[in-house]
Amino acid sequence: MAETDILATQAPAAAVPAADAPASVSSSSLIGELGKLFDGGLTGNVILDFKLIGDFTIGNLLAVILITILVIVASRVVSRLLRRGLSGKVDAKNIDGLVKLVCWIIFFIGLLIASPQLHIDLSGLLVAGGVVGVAVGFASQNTLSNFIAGILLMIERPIGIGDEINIADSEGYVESISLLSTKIKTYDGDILRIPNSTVFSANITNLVTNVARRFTYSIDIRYTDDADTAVKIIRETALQNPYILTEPAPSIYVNELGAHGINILVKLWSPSQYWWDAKIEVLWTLFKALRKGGIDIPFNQLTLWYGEDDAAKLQNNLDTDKSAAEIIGHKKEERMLYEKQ
Amino acid sequence: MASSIIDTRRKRASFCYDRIGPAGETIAFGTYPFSRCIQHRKLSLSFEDDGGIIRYHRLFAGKTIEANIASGNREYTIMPSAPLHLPKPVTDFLQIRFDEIAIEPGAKTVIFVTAPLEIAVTLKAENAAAKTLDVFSFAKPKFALYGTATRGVITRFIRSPVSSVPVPVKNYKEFLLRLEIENTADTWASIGRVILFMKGLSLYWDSASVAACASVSIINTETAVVTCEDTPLRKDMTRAETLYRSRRVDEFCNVKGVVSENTFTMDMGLK
Repeated sequence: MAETDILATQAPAAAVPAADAPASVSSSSLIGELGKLFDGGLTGNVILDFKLIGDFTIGNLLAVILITILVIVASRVVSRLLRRGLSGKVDAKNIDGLVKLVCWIIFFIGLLIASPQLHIDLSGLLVAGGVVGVAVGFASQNTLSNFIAGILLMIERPIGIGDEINIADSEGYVESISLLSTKIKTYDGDILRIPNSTVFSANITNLVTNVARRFTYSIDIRYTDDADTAVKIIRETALQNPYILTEPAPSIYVNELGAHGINILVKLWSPSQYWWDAKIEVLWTLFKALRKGGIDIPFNQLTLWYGEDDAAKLQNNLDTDKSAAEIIGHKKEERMLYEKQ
Repeated sequence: MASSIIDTRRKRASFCYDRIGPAGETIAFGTYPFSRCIQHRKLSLSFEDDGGIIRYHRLFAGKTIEANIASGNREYTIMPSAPLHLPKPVTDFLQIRFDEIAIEPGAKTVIFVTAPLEIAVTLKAENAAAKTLDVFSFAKPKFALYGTATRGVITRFIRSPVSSVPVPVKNYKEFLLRLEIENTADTWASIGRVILFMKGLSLYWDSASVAACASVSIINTETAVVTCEDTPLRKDMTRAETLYRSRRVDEFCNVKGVVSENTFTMDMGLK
């Protein structure tokens, strides 16, 4: 009889909002109804309220089954979306790990939602969980920041696997990008593990992100050498190498009149894939070509002037000029005599 | 030790009992038995039969390439190939620069240019695709960037003279390319280069030359669509086999239709 009363009182109460606003059931009211369902379970008739074990009713069982189905569907949809979104961008192993983590989070949320149906009081667990969470949060602050940075790296993608990069004063090829760290294989073959938070905040130079890149040589020649000839030799020799691009054309110019020689800057473009091969090949070829053309690299040199006053220097010069004029005069006289003979 | 190497080479040379083609043109495209060797300018190509294993030996411009072959089909093929392989596979695109041509709106013109050629030595087997044994070229490879470093493409580069009639090309260094250019824009357009997607290029050869055909449709002063045509320049020309597998062509810079199996859209300038 008591159950019938409950039915009589609950049924109209549930029907009232629908009757009041049948045309415009707002999304918030719908969510509210669903919330009531998950909070209170499926109730309202004799079958649903039939108790199976203790206070656990058939309604509770159906609600748990419904929540379980929703959680499984949600986890599958989310995992599929994640796999589709991250495939090709992230290692397959990392995708698996991330998908598992997300699925466990969804299952945990499902458990929280289903707990009232199971008549489990999670308030104590939540308080304990909160305390543990704070402790774990402090302990895993770095790990969490690396994890978030890893996800952001996957979204922004400043580097990809196999890219040749310069990061944190290290150069090499990207070996792997995982959720917590990025591994770089240096030119020496060493593996450098860099936490993702460092990678995310560091200045990264991706050496191969573009199809072509430029590299520069700084070459000094002697003051006695002709810079125009040197530039011409450098241009012709550099373009002999197949990997030096014809377009954009090499930029070669006198950059500085230095203390020991004329400084020429040589800026050459090459396909990004082969820039290093070109760089190491061309420099020695340029040196050989310049030397063949009679142009050499200057040694560092310093001309010293010993103390000599200006008047003495001037007199010296005048004497030299005078004696030179006398010699020329004598030579002329000798020549005239010779011609007469 | 040095003398033994020389002796071996002499022994190999003794297998060359035949010469292909007339004197001075000792290389020709076609299929030949292993017993035939080739001597052409700085090129020497021969096969040595050790009983079971056949040793391929190629000497070109002072560099020697050798390979061991186990094959029942004792034939090899020499054929022209698009300049895709040397010195390393760098790009699939070919850029030909020529003197600028101003084309009036709606006009169509045909020009002939030359492009670098590679020569491939291939082996055949029943029920299998041809195996590329060796690739060499008399043309010196050069590359250039078309467009910007961020959005452009690396191209195999050549500067070519322009002709309105087919020029004789029989030096195994270059092939002849017939370009049919149409200005579909409603303004004058100048064109001074074309970019071809080489994996869509169909090369044809005969005793006179190697040739290919392409069409260029100018859309505006900065854009043109270059399509490689699978048609011979002359009748009775033989189509050269493609040495690469057809593949799915990736979208170029995420723009659909910019590059397809045999088409490239030049959208970063025509001059």
